Amino acid sequence: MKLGYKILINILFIIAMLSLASIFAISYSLEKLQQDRLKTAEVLFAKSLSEKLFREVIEGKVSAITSVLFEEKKLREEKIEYILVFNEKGYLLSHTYLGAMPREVLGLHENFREGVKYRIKKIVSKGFFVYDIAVPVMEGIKEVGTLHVGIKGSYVENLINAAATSSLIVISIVTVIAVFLSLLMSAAIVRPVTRLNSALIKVSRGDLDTNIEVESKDEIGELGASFNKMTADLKSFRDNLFSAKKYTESIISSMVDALIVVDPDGKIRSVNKSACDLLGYREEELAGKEFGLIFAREETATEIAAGVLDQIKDPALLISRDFRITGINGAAVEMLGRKKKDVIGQFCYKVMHGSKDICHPPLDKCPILEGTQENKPCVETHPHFDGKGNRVTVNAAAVPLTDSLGSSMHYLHITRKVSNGDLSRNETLEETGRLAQELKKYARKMAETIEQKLVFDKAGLQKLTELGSVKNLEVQYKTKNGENIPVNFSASVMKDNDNNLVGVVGVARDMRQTRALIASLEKSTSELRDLYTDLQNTHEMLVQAEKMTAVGQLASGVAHEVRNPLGIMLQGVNYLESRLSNSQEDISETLATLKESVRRADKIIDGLLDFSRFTKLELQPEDINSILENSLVLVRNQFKVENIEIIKELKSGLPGVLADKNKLEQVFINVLLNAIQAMPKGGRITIRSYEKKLGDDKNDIGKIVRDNFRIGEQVVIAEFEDTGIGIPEEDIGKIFDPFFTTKGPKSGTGLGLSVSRNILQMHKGLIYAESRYGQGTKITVILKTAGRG
Amino acid sequence: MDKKKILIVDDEELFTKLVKLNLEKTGDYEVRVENKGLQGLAAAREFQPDLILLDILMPDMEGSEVASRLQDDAQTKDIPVVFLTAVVRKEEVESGCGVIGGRPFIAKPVSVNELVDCIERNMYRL
Repeated sequence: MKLGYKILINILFIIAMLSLASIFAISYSLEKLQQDRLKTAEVLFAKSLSEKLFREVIEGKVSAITSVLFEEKKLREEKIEYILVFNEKGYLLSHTYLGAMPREVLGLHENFREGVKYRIKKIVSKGFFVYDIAVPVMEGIKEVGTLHVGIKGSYVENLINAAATSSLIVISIVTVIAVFLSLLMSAAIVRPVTRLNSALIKVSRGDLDTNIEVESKDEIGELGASFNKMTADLKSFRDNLFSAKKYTESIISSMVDALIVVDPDGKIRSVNKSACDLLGYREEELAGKEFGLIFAREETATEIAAGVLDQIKDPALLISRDFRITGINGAAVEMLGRKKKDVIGQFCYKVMHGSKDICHPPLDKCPILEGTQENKPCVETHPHFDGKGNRVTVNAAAVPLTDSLGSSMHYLHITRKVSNGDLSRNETLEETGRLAQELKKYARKMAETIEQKLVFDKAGLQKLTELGSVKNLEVQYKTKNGENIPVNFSASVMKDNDNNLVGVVGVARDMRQTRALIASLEKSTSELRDLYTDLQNTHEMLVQAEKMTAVGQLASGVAHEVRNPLGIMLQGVNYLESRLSNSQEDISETLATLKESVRRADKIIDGLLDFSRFTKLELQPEDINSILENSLVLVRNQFKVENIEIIKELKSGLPGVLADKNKLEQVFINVLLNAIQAMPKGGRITIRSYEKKLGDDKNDIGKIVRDNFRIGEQVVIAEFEDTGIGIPEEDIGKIFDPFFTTKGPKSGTGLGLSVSRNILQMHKGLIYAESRYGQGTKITVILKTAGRG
Repeated sequence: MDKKKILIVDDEELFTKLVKLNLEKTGDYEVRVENKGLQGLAAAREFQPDLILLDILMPDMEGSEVASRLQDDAQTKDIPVVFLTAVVRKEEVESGCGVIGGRPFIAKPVSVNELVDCIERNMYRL
């Protein structure tokens, strides 16, 4: 109920009570007044009449009394109902009734007690209402009779009523005035309150410009003033807040980075303009959506995983929780002899254990994966099947990639081919075990990268809450039209004072340009590197060619100039021989020596020509081991003579090399002869052959790769390690130069190793030497494979 | 048996002289020597040898040029030619007498026996 009504009702109630009370008071006092009046006027009248008649009462002169009574009554007819006179014995002496007397009047007589001057009695019965006034008729102090005057009740009532009516009129008027005044008053009280109230309502609706006119100086006035001050404060506070909010908003909206605020339940709460622009959504399209919506997921995880896979040299597969292959690296592709697309999506069991029928065994029967527990890799030997159904026995290790919550999403499966059963199963398993250790490293890296993708799952949010923040994650946003955008993503959680999660703020920076820049930079770097390598090669080739041309010309010249005289000498010797008689043995011996010298000189010219000549090679796939064996056969006797032990470590099953067999033999013989000459007191030479993937060894890079090889290329290597005198450090760079020799003029031409180098160069291969003076020399020959099969 | 006529064209005078001596000493050959290419051509027409030993490197005319002129001349085109050269490796010409690019070669230095062997081998070859 409104306050105004309450006040009004209260006031009205009070007025009503007051009015009633005054009505009662007035009516009571009117009656009292009437009785007083009866007492004074009517009692006086009765007394005077009794004094007038006391002789006639004593003497009993009834007629005289009656006439007086009638006379008196006649004078006051309007108010006197009757006049009665009783004698002292109570007999009615006289009365003013002409007809029958009412019953009520007959029993009126009563003697007065002493001292009582009058008695007034109200007699009310049906149709009869009088005030009876009785006075004694006295003779001296002796009561001789009583006189009753009946005043008409209606007369008295009329008097009272008239007075009451006028009183009521007055009261009514006063009440009306009081009501009116109270209305005014209540309105006066209520008005400021109402105003305050409506102002409050306005304020509650946000209109802080509301002001109340402060009229009164009472409490309400003070209230109003306080209210005005409060709203003013509130307004300035709100305005400050608004401008602060606007300032913050303008900062956020003008941010270049995409900002996203997320509720604790993972729903997007707000985004800034950059985020909308980046993602192609409107703000209202994103609000309330799952945060995960804007993240590209599986594709990227697989992509990242593929990146990691490619860093693994051994055949490796990525297998999803349902045992399907989701990723495969180059080595595995090679081993399985299938294209990526043939294998991805296949059940691992089919590929790895070779189920041939169409029915797949139950998915959980993938033994290698069954064996994996937590981060423990499982290792075993089992067959794989390539694309043609050929069996490849491998040692395999698998490790589950677990996310931060410990649930495994993918398995990393890595295999190593068992080479022709050379190694015992236990040994290889041990080896694989070591591999598995390395695998764990990759697994961790992979799991981490995959995990980064899952940060904004429900579980991910919880994880983030624990972490507090994540920084510079390389993730991908997914735009409205499905495009994946690489972004650099950081996020931190917002907490209130009670440490409850209020939300998450994520900031992402578009990395497309950076990525493109990096990619183009990488591209140009690699182009530059290629160019540099080419240039280096070309330079070397040019230098070499120039050298060769020069040497060639020189050699031809020398050959021509030397051989012609040699020819003459030989012909001359032949002529002299033909003219010689048998007895002249000493001359014959001399001629033989001359012929031998001619031949030696000729041989040097041969070597020179050999060195300078770009002879065409007859390249065809050859078995390096048989070339090595052939070369050894040719020099074996010399080894025996020189007391040199030969140790052969030739690996079987090596791929063929593209080679000119004779030329390569020449090289090997050269190397072997050098080794013999390096070990004048006997010793040991170890001859090895093996295959290798370049890049496994840091030494490969720079030393080998820049020449005719590239990283990752499969090559066949022949090594000759002797225990000879070695080569002084200052000479090691020169040993392949033409005419360089340490053996003195009699032992060789100084062309052997330089010819060998040329032969290797023509093979697109490489020969190099490593030596420690006094300890021995190792010559390494690297050849390209002819490819398998 | 008639002696076979051999024409040697080589700028090394001493060499040709000794070869002539050695070959004639065998008693099987009649040898004529020319030390210049052009003269060699003339001698070939006139002498009509059974075989010509032709040096490749000569100052006035290359052996190959001489050979192609011999080829172009009807009078000499059927005469077998064996080249003499200092600028081949021994292994390339089989035991001092072999074939390079379809042509017979003798690599210097060459002994008399090798020379005779080579001449005999190429004499009746057409």
